[in-house]
Amino acid sequence: MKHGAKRSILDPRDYSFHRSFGITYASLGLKEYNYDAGFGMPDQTADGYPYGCTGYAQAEVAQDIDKDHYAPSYTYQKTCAYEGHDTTTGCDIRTSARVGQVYGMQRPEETTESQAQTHRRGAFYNIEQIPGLDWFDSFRTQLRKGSSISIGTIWFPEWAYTQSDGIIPTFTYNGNANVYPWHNYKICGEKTINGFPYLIAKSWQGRHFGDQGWCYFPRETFNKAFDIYGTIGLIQGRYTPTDIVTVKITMLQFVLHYLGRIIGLQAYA
Amino acid sequence: MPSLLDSLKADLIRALQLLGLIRSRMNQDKIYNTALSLIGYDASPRNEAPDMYACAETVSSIVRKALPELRFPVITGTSELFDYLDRSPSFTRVISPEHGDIIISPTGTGNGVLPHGHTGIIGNNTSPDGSLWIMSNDSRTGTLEVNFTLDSWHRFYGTRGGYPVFIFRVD
Repeated sequence: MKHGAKRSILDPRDYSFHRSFGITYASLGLKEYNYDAGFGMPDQTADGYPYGCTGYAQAEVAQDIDKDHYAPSYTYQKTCAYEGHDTTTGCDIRTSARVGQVYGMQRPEETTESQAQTHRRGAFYNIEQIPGLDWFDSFRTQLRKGSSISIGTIWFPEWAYTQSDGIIPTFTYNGNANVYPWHNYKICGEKTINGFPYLIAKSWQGRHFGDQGWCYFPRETFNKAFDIYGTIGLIQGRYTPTDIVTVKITMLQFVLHYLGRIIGLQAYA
Repeated sequence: MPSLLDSLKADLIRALQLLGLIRSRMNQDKIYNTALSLIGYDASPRNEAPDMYACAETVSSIVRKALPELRFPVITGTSELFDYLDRSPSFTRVISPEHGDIIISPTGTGNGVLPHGHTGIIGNNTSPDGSLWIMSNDSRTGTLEVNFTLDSWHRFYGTRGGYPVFIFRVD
Protein backbone atom coordinates (compact mmCIF):
# COMPACT_ATOMS: atom_id res chain seq x y z
CA MET A 1 0.00 0.00 0.00
CA LYS A 2 1.38 3.41 -0.94
CA HIS A 3 1.58 6.27 1.46
CA GLY A 4 3.89 9.17 1.97
CA ALA A 5 1.92 12.26 1.05
CA LYS A 6 -0.21 14.31 3.37
CA ARG A 7 -3.77 15.17 2.55
CA SER A 8 -3.75 18.62 0.94
CA ILE A 9 -5.90 21.00 2.91
CA LEU A 10 -7.37 23.76 0.77
CA ASP A 11 -5.01 26.71 0.85
CA PRO A 12 -6.51 29.99 -0.35
CA ARG A 13 -3.03 31.26 -1.12
CA ASP A 14 -2.59 28.71 -3.93
CA TYR A 15 -2.39 30.14 -7.40
CA SER A 16 -5.09 28.69 -9.62
CA PHE A 17 -3.84 27.91 -13.11
CA HIS A 18 -7.18 28.60 -14.72
CA ARG A 19 -7.77 31.81 -12.80
CA SER A 20 -4.21 32.98 -13.44
CA PHE A 21 -4.05 32.27 -17.15
CA GLY A 22 -7.69 31.84 -18.13
CA ILE A 23 -9.22 28.67 -19.47
CA THR A 24 -7.63 27.95 -22.81
CA TYR A 25 -8.07 24.81 -24.82
CA ALA A 26 -5.31 23.20 -26.78
CA SER A 27 -5.76 20.48 -29.35
CA LEU A 28 -2.78 18.19 -29.76
CA GLY A 29 -4.32 16.39 -32.70
CA LEU A 30 -3.36 13.21 -30.86
CA LYS A 31 -5.48 10.88 -28.81
CA GLU A 32 -2.49 9.13 -27.25
CA TYR A 33 0.64 10.73 -25.89
CA ASN A 34 2.98 10.39 -22.93
CA TYR A 35 5.22 13.22 -21.71
CA ASP A 36 7.43 10.92 -19.63
CA ALA A 37 11.08 11.77 -20.26
CA GLY A 38 12.04 8.10 -20.19
CA PHE A 39 14.57 7.93 -17.34
CA GLY A 40 13.29 4.59 -16.11
CA MET A 41 10.57 3.21 -13.89
CA PRO A 42 11.59 3.92 -10.29
CA ASP A 43 10.51 1.91 -7.27
CA GLN A 44 10.52 4.11 -4.17
CA THR A 45 10.43 1.17 -1.76
CA ALA A 46 13.34 -0.62 -3.47
CA ASP A 47 15.25 2.68 -3.49
CA GLY A 48 14.88 2.86 0.30
CA TYR A 49 12.36 5.73 0.37
CA PRO A 50 9.00 4.10 1.13
CA TYR A 51 7.59 7.49 2.19
CA GLY A 52 9.35 9.52 -0.49
CA CYS A 53 6.61 9.78 -3.11
CA THR A 54 6.64 13.59 -3.01
CA GLY A 55 10.29 13.63 -4.02
CA TYR A 56 9.62 11.24 -6.88
CA ALA A 57 6.63 13.20 -8.15
CA GLN A 58 8.52 16.48 -7.98
CA ALA A 59 11.61 15.08 -9.71
CA GLU A 60 9.67 13.23 -12.39
CA VAL A 61 7.49 16.20 -13.36
CA ALA A 62 10.62 18.37 -13.54
CA GLN A 63 12.33 15.71 -15.67
CA ASP A 64 9.46 15.70 -18.14
CA ILE A 65 9.72 19.45 -18.56
CA ASP A 66 13.52 19.79 -18.61
CA LYS A 67 14.26 16.42 -20.30
CA ASP A 68 16.99 16.04 -17.70
CA HIS A 69 17.52 13.38 -15.03
CA TYR A 70 16.93 14.45 -11.42
CA ALA A 71 17.41 12.59 -8.14
CA PRO A 72 14.14 12.13 -6.21
CA SER A 73 16.08 11.48 -3.00
CA TYR A 74 17.54 15.00 -3.02
CA THR A 75 14.11 16.62 -3.24
CA TYR A 76 12.62 14.27 -0.65
CA GLN A 77 15.40 14.79 1.86
CA LYS A 78 15.26 18.55 1.41
CA THR A 79 11.47 18.46 1.87
CA CYS A 80 11.83 16.44 5.07
CA ALA A 81 14.40 18.95 6.35
CA TYR A 82 12.11 21.84 5.33
CA GLU A 83 9.27 20.26 7.33
CA GLY A 84 11.55 19.40 10.21
CA HIS A 85 11.37 15.60 10.31
CA ASP A 86 13.38 12.60 9.14
CA THR A 87 12.67 10.27 6.22
CA THR A 88 10.45 7.92 8.19
CA THR A 89 7.40 9.95 7.36
CA GLY A 90 5.79 11.53 4.33
CA CYS A 91 5.62 15.15 3.27
CA ASP A 92 3.17 17.76 2.16
CA ILE A 93 2.92 18.07 -1.61
CA ARG A 94 2.97 21.87 -1.54
CA THR A 95 6.09 21.84 0.62
CA SER A 96 7.75 19.61 -1.95
CA ALA A 97 6.87 22.11 -4.66
CA ARG A 98 8.27 24.94 -2.53
CA VAL A 99 11.48 22.99 -2.02
CA GLY A 100 11.82 22.86 -5.79
CA GLN A 101 11.55 26.63 -5.84
CA VAL A 102 14.06 27.16 -3.04
CA TYR A 103 16.64 24.39 -3.49
CA GLY A 104 16.10 23.29 -7.07
CA MET A 105 16.52 19.80 -8.46
CA GLN A 106 19.73 17.81 -8.36
CA ARG A 107 21.10 15.64 -11.15
CA PRO A 108 22.47 12.29 -9.86
CA GLU A 109 26.04 13.28 -10.72
CA GLU A 110 25.81 16.69 -9.03
CA THR A 111 27.06 17.09 -5.48
CA THR A 112 26.61 20.70 -4.44
CA GLU A 113 23.55 22.75 -3.62
CA SER A 114 24.64 25.51 -5.98
CA GLN A 115 24.49 23.02 -8.85
CA ALA A 116 20.95 22.07 -7.84
CA GLN A 117 20.03 25.75 -7.69
CA THR A 118 20.53 25.98 -11.45
CA HIS A 119 17.49 23.70 -11.88
CA ARG A 120 15.10 25.64 -9.67
CA ARG A 121 11.38 25.41 -10.27
CA GLY A 122 9.00 28.29 -10.76
CA ALA A 123 5.63 29.12 -9.24
CA PHE A 124 3.24 26.22 -8.85
CA TYR A 125 -0.40 26.32 -9.81
CA ASN A 126 -3.37 24.37 -8.60
CA ILE A 127 -5.43 22.54 -11.23
CA GLU A 128 -9.09 23.13 -10.50
CA GLN A 129 -12.17 21.62 -12.04
CA ILE A 130 -13.15 23.68 -15.08
CA PRO A 131 -16.80 24.76 -14.89
CA GLY A 132 -18.93 22.34 -16.89
CA LEU A 133 -16.21 19.71 -17.24
CA ASP A 134 -15.59 16.76 -14.97
CA TRP A 135 -12.24 16.22 -13.24
CA PHE A 136 -11.10 13.82 -15.95
CA ASP A 137 -11.63 16.31 -18.77
CA SER A 138 -10.28 19.20 -16.67
CA PHE A 139 -7.01 17.31 -16.30
CA ARG A 140 -6.99 16.29 -19.96
CA THR A 141 -7.45 19.94 -20.92
CA GLN A 142 -4.49 20.84 -18.75
CA LEU A 143 -2.33 17.95 -19.95
CA ARG A 144 -2.82 18.93 -23.57
CA LYS A 145 -1.04 22.20 -22.86
CA GLY A 146 2.15 20.22 -22.71
CA SER A 147 3.35 19.05 -19.30
CA SER A 148 2.87 16.36 -16.69
CA ILE A 149 0.89 17.06 -13.52
CA SER A 150 1.79 16.08 -9.97
CA ILE A 151 -1.29 14.77 -8.21
CA GLY A 152 -2.10 13.72 -4.69
CA THR A 153 -4.97 11.35 -3.94
CA ILE A 154 -5.82 8.56 -1.58
CA TRP A 155 -4.13 5.35 -2.76
CA PHE A 156 -6.98 2.90 -2.23
CA PRO A 157 -6.28 -0.68 -1.11
CA GLU A 158 -8.06 -1.97 -4.24
CA TRP A 159 -5.49 -0.24 -6.43
CA ALA A 160 -2.78 -2.58 -5.14
CA TYR A 161 -4.53 -5.30 -7.17
CA THR A 162 -4.12 -3.49 -10.50
CA GLN A 163 -3.70 -6.17 -13.17
CA SER A 164 -1.06 -6.31 -15.88
CA ASP A 165 -3.35 -4.32 -18.21
CA GLY A 166 -2.62 -1.39 -15.88
CA ILE A 167 -6.25 -0.31 -15.52
CA ILE A 168 -6.86 1.08 -12.04
CA PRO A 169 -9.86 -0.71 -10.53
CA THR A 170 -12.76 1.09 -8.95
CA PHE A 171 -12.86 1.42 -5.16
CA THR A 172 -15.11 1.81 -2.18
CA TYR A 173 -14.70 4.86 0.01
CA ASN A 174 -15.97 4.96 3.57
CA GLY A 175 -16.18 8.75 3.74
CA ASN A 176 -13.30 9.26 6.16
CA ALA A 177 -10.27 10.44 4.18
CA ASN A 178 -8.06 10.41 7.26
CA VAL A 179 -7.96 6.63 7.56
CA TYR A 180 -6.54 6.08 4.08
CA PRO A 181 -2.95 6.40 2.84
CA TRP A 182 -2.32 9.35 0.53
CA HIS A 183 0.07 9.15 -2.39
CA ASN A 184 1.76 11.67 -4.67
CA TYR A 185 2.27 10.53 -8.27
CA LYS A 186 2.10 11.98 -11.74
CA ILE A 187 -0.35 12.04 -14.61
CA CYS A 188 1.60 12.31 -17.83
CA GLY A 189 -0.56 11.45 -20.82
CA GLU A 190 -3.60 9.87 -22.38
CA LYS A 191 -4.16 6.39 -23.74
CA THR A 192 -7.10 4.79 -25.52
CA ILE A 193 -8.01 1.29 -24.39
CA ASN A 194 -10.91 -0.52 -26.08
CA GLY A 195 -12.03 2.80 -27.53
CA PHE A 196 -12.20 4.59 -24.18
CA PRO A 197 -9.85 7.31 -22.95
CA TYR A 198 -7.62 6.76 -19.91
CA LEU A 199 -5.15 8.99 -18.09
CA ILE A 200 -1.62 7.58 -17.91
CA ALA A 201 -0.15 7.58 -14.40
CA LYS A 202 3.27 6.67 -13.03
CA SER A 203 3.31 5.76 -9.35
CA TRP A 204 6.93 4.76 -8.43
CA GLN A 205 6.16 1.14 -7.66
CA GLY A 206 8.57 -0.41 -10.09
CA ARG A 207 8.08 -2.46 -13.22
CA HIS A 208 6.17 -5.20 -11.44
CA PHE A 209 3.19 -2.91 -10.85
CA GLY A 210 0.46 -2.55 -13.46
CA ASP A 211 1.55 -2.41 -17.09
CA GLN A 212 5.36 -2.43 -16.63
CA GLY A 213 4.99 0.29 -14.01
CA TRP A 214 2.34 2.31 -15.83
CA CYS A 215 -1.24 2.48 -14.70
CA TYR A 216 -4.28 3.92 -16.41
CA PHE A 217 -7.17 5.78 -14.81
CA PRO A 218 -10.63 5.36 -16.28
CA ARG A 219 -12.90 8.39 -16.16
CA GLU A 220 -15.24 7.19 -13.42
CA THR A 221 -12.47 6.11 -11.06
CA PHE A 222 -10.53 9.32 -11.56
CA ASN A 223 -13.61 11.51 -11.00
CA LYS A 224 -14.58 9.53 -7.91
CA ALA A 225 -11.07 9.81 -6.47
CA PHE A 226 -10.83 13.54 -7.11
CA ASP A 227 -14.24 14.29 -5.61
CA ILE A 228 -12.69 13.55 -2.21
CA TYR A 229 -11.67 16.65 -0.28
CA GLY A 230 -7.92 16.88 0.12
CA THR A 231 -6.89 15.81 -3.39
CA ILE A 232 -4.61 18.11 -5.30
CA GLY A 233 -3.17 18.58 -8.79
CA LEU A 234 -0.16 20.84 -9.21
CA ILE A 235 1.65 22.07 -12.26
CA GLN A 236 5.04 23.71 -11.93
CA GLY A 237 7.33 24.92 -14.66
CA ARG A 238 10.97 25.98 -14.64
CA TYR A 239 12.09 28.98 -12.71
CA THR A 240 12.14 32.22 -14.66
CA PRO A 241 13.16 35.68 -13.43
CA THR A 242 9.52 36.77 -13.63
CA ASP A 243 8.71 34.29 -10.85
CA ILE A 244 10.07 36.76 -8.31
CA VAL A 245 7.11 38.78 -7.13
CA THR A 246 6.66 41.01 -4.14
CA VAL A 247 3.49 40.31 -2.23
CA LYS A 248 2.28 43.13 -0.04
CA ILE A 249 -0.16 42.28 2.73
CA THR A 250 -1.82 44.72 5.05
CA MET A 251 -1.39 44.57 8.80
CA LEU A 252 -5.02 43.36 9.08
CA GLN A 253 -4.38 40.50 6.64
CA PHE A 254 -1.26 39.56 8.59
CA VAL A 255 -3.15 39.49 11.88
CA LEU A 256 -6.05 37.48 10.42
CA HIS A 257 -3.64 35.02 8.85
CA TYR A 258 -1.76 34.64 12.14
CA LEU A 259 -4.99 34.11 14.08
CA GLY A 260 -6.13 31.59 11.46
CA ARG A 261 -2.98 29.58 11.98
CA ILE A 262 -3.40 29.65 15.76
CA ILE A 263 -6.95 28.30 15.61
CA GLY A 264 -5.99 25.73 12.97
CA LEU A 265 -7.82 27.12 9.93
CA GLN A 266 -4.64 26.77 7.89
CA ALA A 267 -2.92 23.53 8.63
CA TYR A 268 0.17 24.05 6.50
CA ALA A 269 2.17 27.17 5.98
CA MET B 1 -29.40 -16.82 -25.49
CA PRO B 2 -26.80 -15.72 -28.07
CA SER B 3 -25.97 -18.20 -30.78
CA LEU B 4 -22.47 -19.52 -31.37
CA LEU B 5 -22.22 -17.23 -34.40
CA ASP B 6 -23.18 -14.17 -32.31
CA SER B 7 -20.64 -15.13 -29.69
CA LEU B 8 -17.89 -15.58 -32.30
CA LYS B 9 -18.85 -12.26 -33.87
CA ALA B 10 -18.63 -10.49 -30.49
CA ASP B 11 -15.23 -12.08 -29.82
CA LEU B 12 -13.96 -11.02 -33.24
CA ILE B 13 -15.15 -7.43 -32.72
CA ARG B 14 -13.51 -7.33 -29.29
CA ALA B 15 -10.25 -8.69 -30.72
CA LEU B 16 -10.26 -6.10 -33.52
CA GLN B 17 -10.95 -3.35 -30.98
CA LEU B 18 -8.06 -4.53 -28.85
CA LEU B 19 -5.79 -4.49 -31.87
CA GLY B 20 -7.03 -1.00 -32.67
CA LEU B 21 -8.25 -2.10 -36.10
CA ILE B 22 -11.78 -0.91 -35.44
CA ARG B 23 -13.07 1.79 -33.17
CA SER B 24 -15.45 1.14 -30.31
CA ARG B 25 -18.73 2.96 -30.84
CA MET B 26 -20.09 2.09 -27.41
CA ASN B 27 -20.59 5.69 -26.28
CA GLN B 28 -22.06 6.70 -29.64
CA ASP B 29 -24.43 3.74 -29.34
CA LYS B 30 -25.47 4.87 -25.86
CA ILE B 31 -26.34 8.38 -27.09
CA TYR B 32 -28.19 7.01 -30.11
CA ASN B 33 -30.13 4.43 -28.12
CA THR B 34 -31.10 6.97 -25.45
CA ALA B 35 -32.33 9.39 -28.10
CA LEU B 36 -34.22 6.60 -29.82
CA SER B 37 -35.97 5.67 -26.58
CA LEU B 38 -37.09 9.26 -26.04
CA ILE B 39 -38.74 9.84 -29.42
CA GLY B 40 -42.19 11.30 -28.84
CA TYR B 41 -41.34 12.40 -25.30
CA ASP B 42 -40.23 15.68 -23.81
CA ALA B 43 -36.54 14.86 -23.40
CA SER B 44 -35.94 18.02 -21.37
CA PRO B 45 -38.59 17.83 -18.66
CA ARG B 46 -36.72 20.25 -16.44
CA ASN B 47 -37.84 22.96 -18.89
CA GLU B 48 -34.94 25.26 -18.18
CA ALA B 49 -35.53 26.66 -21.64
CA PRO B 50 -39.00 27.17 -23.17
CA ASP B 51 -40.05 24.13 -25.25
CA MET B 52 -39.87 26.37 -28.34
CA TYR B 53 -36.12 26.76 -27.91
CA ALA B 54 -35.31 23.56 -26.06
CA CYS B 55 -33.16 21.82 -28.67
CA ALA B 56 -29.87 22.35 -26.81
CA GLU B 57 -31.42 21.39 -23.49
CA THR B 58 -32.83 18.27 -25.15
CA VAL B 59 -29.46 17.22 -26.57
CA SER B 60 -27.65 17.89 -23.32
CA SER B 61 -30.32 15.94 -21.38
CA ILE B 62 -29.87 12.98 -23.74
CA VAL B 63 -26.08 13.02 -23.29
CA ARG B 64 -26.48 13.33 -19.52
CA LYS B 65 -28.82 10.37 -19.44
CA ALA B 66 -26.72 8.24 -21.80
CA LEU B 67 -23.33 9.01 -20.27
CA PRO B 68 -23.75 10.14 -16.65
CA GLU B 69 -20.02 9.63 -16.04
CA LEU B 70 -19.30 12.60 -18.34
CA ARG B 71 -21.10 14.94 -15.89
CA PHE B 72 -22.38 16.84 -18.91
CA PRO B 73 -24.03 20.12 -17.85
CA VAL B 74 -27.55 21.19 -18.80
CA ILE B 75 -27.01 23.71 -21.58
CA THR B 76 -29.91 25.72 -22.90
CA GLY B 77 -28.44 27.50 -25.90
CA THR B 78 -26.92 26.20 -29.14
CA SER B 79 -24.15 28.76 -28.96
CA GLU B 80 -23.14 27.63 -25.47
CA LEU B 81 -23.51 24.00 -26.47
CA PHE B 82 -21.21 24.54 -29.45
CA ASP B 83 -18.62 26.25 -27.22
CA TYR B 84 -18.80 23.37 -24.78
CA LEU B 85 -18.45 20.65 -27.41
CA ASP B 86 -15.62 22.51 -29.11
CA ARG B 87 -13.55 22.74 -25.94
CA SER B 88 -14.43 19.44 -24.29
CA PRO B 89 -11.68 16.84 -24.68
CA SER B 90 -14.42 14.20 -24.78
CA PHE B 91 -15.86 15.39 -28.08
CA THR B 92 -14.15 15.62 -31.44
CA ARG B 93 -15.29 17.57 -34.46
CA VAL B 94 -15.74 15.17 -37.39
CA ILE B 95 -16.59 15.48 -41.06
CA SER B 96 -18.41 12.24 -41.86
CA PRO B 97 -21.46 11.78 -39.61
CA GLU B 98 -22.37 8.53 -37.88
CA HIS B 99 -25.21 7.52 -35.58
CA GLY B 100 -24.97 9.03 -32.11
CA ASP B 101 -23.09 12.11 -33.33
CA ILE B 102 -24.34 15.57 -32.38
CA ILE B 103 -25.16 17.91 -35.24
CA ILE B 104 -25.28 21.61 -34.43
CA SER B 105 -25.76 24.93 -36.20
CA PRO B 106 -25.15 27.49 -33.44
CA THR B 107 -27.36 30.56 -33.05
CA GLY B 108 -25.63 33.77 -34.04
CA THR B 109 -23.62 32.30 -36.89
CA GLY B 110 -26.24 32.46 -39.67
CA ASN B 111 -27.23 35.12 -42.21
CA GLY B 112 -30.22 36.35 -40.19
CA VAL B 113 -32.96 34.68 -42.24
CA LEU B 114 -33.48 32.09 -39.50
CA PRO B 115 -33.24 33.69 -36.05
CA HIS B 116 -32.26 30.54 -34.15
CA GLY B 117 -29.82 27.72 -34.76
CA HIS B 118 -30.60 24.11 -33.97
CA THR B 119 -29.06 20.90 -32.71
CA GLY B 120 -29.94 17.21 -32.78
CA ILE B 121 -28.71 13.63 -32.67
CA ILE B 122 -27.86 11.76 -35.84
CA GLY B 123 -29.73 8.50 -36.36
CA ASN B 124 -28.71 5.13 -37.71
CA ASN B 125 -31.17 4.66 -40.56
CA THR B 126 -31.09 6.14 -44.02
CA SER B 127 -34.00 8.34 -45.05
CA PRO B 128 -35.67 8.34 -48.49
CA ASP B 129 -33.40 11.20 -49.59
CA GLY B 130 -30.40 8.92 -49.05
CA SER B 131 -28.96 10.64 -45.96
CA LEU B 132 -29.22 9.72 -42.29
CA TRP B 133 -32.20 10.76 -40.17
CA ILE B 134 -31.79 13.31 -37.40
CA MET B 135 -33.66 13.37 -34.09
CA SER B 136 -34.19 16.79 -32.54
CA ASN B 137 -36.55 18.80 -30.40
CA ASP B 138 -39.74 19.82 -32.20
CA SER B 139 -40.40 23.39 -31.12
CA ARG B 140 -44.14 23.05 -31.80
CA THR B 141 -44.66 20.15 -29.41
CA GLY B 142 -41.58 20.28 -27.18
CA THR B 143 -40.95 16.59 -27.83
CA LEU B 144 -38.07 14.75 -29.46
CA GLU B 145 -38.96 13.81 -33.02
CA VAL B 146 -37.32 12.45 -36.15
CA ASN B 147 -37.78 15.70 -38.01
CA PHE B 148 -34.72 16.25 -40.20
CA THR B 149 -32.36 14.38 -42.45
CA LEU B 150 -28.77 15.40 -43.02
CA ASP B 151 -29.72 16.71 -46.46
CA SER B 152 -32.73 18.66 -45.23
CA TRP B 153 -30.65 20.09 -42.35
CA HIS B 154 -28.00 21.30 -44.78
CA ARG B 155 -30.68 22.75 -47.08
CA PHE B 156 -32.61 24.48 -44.28
CA TYR B 157 -29.90 25.64 -41.89
CA GLY B 158 -26.89 25.60 -44.20
CA THR B 159 -28.26 27.04 -47.45
CA ARG B 160 -31.31 28.99 -46.31
CA GLY B 161 -30.11 30.12 -42.89
CA GLY B 162 -26.44 30.51 -43.80
CA TYR B 163 -25.43 28.54 -40.72
CA PRO B 164 -22.30 26.43 -40.55
CA VAL B 165 -23.09 22.79 -39.77
CA PHE B 166 -20.84 21.12 -37.20
CA ILE B 167 -20.79 17.48 -36.20
CA PHE B 168 -19.28 16.31 -32.90
CA ARG B 169 -18.51 12.75 -31.84
CA VAL B 170 -18.06 11.52 -28.31
CA ASP B 171 -14.86 9.61 -27.44
